[in-house]
Amino acid sequence: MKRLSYGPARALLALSFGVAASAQAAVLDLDWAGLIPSAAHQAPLEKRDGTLAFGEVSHFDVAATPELAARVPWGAPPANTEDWTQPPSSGFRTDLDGVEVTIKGFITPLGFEGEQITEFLLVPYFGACVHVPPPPANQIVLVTEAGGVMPDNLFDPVEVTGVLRVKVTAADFGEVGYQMEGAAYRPLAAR
Amino acid sequence: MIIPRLSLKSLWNRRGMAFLTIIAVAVSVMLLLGVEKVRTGARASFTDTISATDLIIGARSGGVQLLLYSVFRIGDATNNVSWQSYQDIAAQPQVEWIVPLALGDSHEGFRVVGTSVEFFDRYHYRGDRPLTFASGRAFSDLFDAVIGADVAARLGYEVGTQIIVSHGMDRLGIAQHDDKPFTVSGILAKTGTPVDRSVHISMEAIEAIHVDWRSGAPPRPGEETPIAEVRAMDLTPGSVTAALVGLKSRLGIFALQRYVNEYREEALTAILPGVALFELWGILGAAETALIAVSAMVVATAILGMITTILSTLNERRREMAILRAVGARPMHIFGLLVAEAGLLAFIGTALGVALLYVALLILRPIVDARFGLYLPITAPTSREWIVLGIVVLSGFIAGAIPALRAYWNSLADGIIVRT
Repeated sequence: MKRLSYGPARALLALSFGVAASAQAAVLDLDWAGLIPSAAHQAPLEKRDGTLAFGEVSHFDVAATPELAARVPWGAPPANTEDWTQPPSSGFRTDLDGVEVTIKGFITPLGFEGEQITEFLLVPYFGACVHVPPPPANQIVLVTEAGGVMPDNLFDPVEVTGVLRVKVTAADFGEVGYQMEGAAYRPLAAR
Repeated sequence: MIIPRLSLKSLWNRRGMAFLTIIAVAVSVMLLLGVEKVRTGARASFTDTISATDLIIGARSGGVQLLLYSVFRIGDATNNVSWQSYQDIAAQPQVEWIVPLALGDSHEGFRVVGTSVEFFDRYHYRGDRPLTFASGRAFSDLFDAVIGADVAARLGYEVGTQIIVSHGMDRLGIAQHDDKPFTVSGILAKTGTPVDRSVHISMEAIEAIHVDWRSGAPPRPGEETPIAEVRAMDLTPGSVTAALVGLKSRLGIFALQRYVNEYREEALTAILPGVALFELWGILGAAETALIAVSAMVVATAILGMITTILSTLNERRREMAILRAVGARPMHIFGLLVAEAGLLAFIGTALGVALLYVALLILRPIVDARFGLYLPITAPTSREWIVLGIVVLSGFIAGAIPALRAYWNSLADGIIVRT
């Protein structure tokens, strides 16, 4: 049997490692805080008249704090984007549009095909208490046309890799959100 | 190639025993794969039942319970949702469409569902398939009814047939709304979902048939409100049992869900169908695991039985082994022969088991569908199932090593002369 000479074999090995390393470097490993542009966008969105949107604060906090109760007009839906001190779209990192990222989170399934979950919302936590509001718009990623190994339970974390997009999701509502199309996901083994 | 040929001939020589062993292995493999097929078939059947619906709303109860009674028509609602609450939710700007559902009546054991005409546009299943009409059209007159494919097939109804709706889940028709008969205006095409087993009427029709039932008891004969008078009444629904909601943007699901769950006027629950389905599977998961464990034990038992049978016949085969030694077979060949026999039995048994499974699925599928509403898809074995089958055949070969070792030692001891 012929033996490969060491020189070319080593070069080939180094080249393949280099290619693999550069391919890995292209995918950005994102954590959930990275989806928020700045600390200013973590506070509940305020309207110009000082009122807060229903659902932006927990109604338990509202019940406990009279000053807060005065500022939440119960049942009034958010009307126009001009009413907000910051437009809802400002809470998103538009510089990440088109970047391939990988995020760890939990699946909230929306659409199935047979046994595969094809459409889901990726959220930072699962089964959270009702003390605080649900994740705000910039902490949810809508993943469509997804493919991958389905987790056994919804409380198993998954890692989703795909191209992140910042898109208008409801045109007449001015709503913007993070989306991923054709992402791949896999369950994360517990440590 | 001599070993496989020899083992085939050897098995053929003892074809009675071989046949029984093959049957045992086949039935156990059929059971193992059958449990897996029913499990995945049931899951697919559940996920295929509803799609493109973002939230399901009902009176406050458990998420799984709400899913079961609103979509699968299993179980009963705890309470209804008032029309005012329904209107409040429908007025929310995130809501793109909303379809009411009213449950509580039946016809010949099939559930009667009050809903709006929009139901036939908005309800999707198995990905994004909409409902289609096999004949007729949606209701336009107050006393029109649209029936599912199974209802039409089982009861032999056509467009124009007159039907009577019963109060509650009444198979014998003891408490009936016989003063207000309905006419079938349309029949839906088969979907493989609970829609096939439902009779759909308008929300106003539900109000109309309960006009005289305000006390909870039927009207006395002769005291029913005439149909002409009922048609002229204001039949705005007073309540709904559940509602299916679609949003303009799926990112707004959590906000609207929280709004409904915290709604102060009434105790309500909003669920995401996908999440509730996972909860249901979590409950069933323990039972599924138990079933699969039992089936695996059955397969192990069949293989053990095979080994026992081969072992028990070893003694009478010592002369056969001696003859083989005499014509030049080495002890390793004897070993290989026995292993090949066991493996071959396992292989043929597995293949037969798979074939029997598909035959059984083909025969049982329409029966299971009619009886349980479970539409089992007949698909090729998945990669996981192939691996399981491979393990069964491999374990046949490995287990064959036990009698093979025995025969090996026997042939070493005996040589070409058998001392019995």
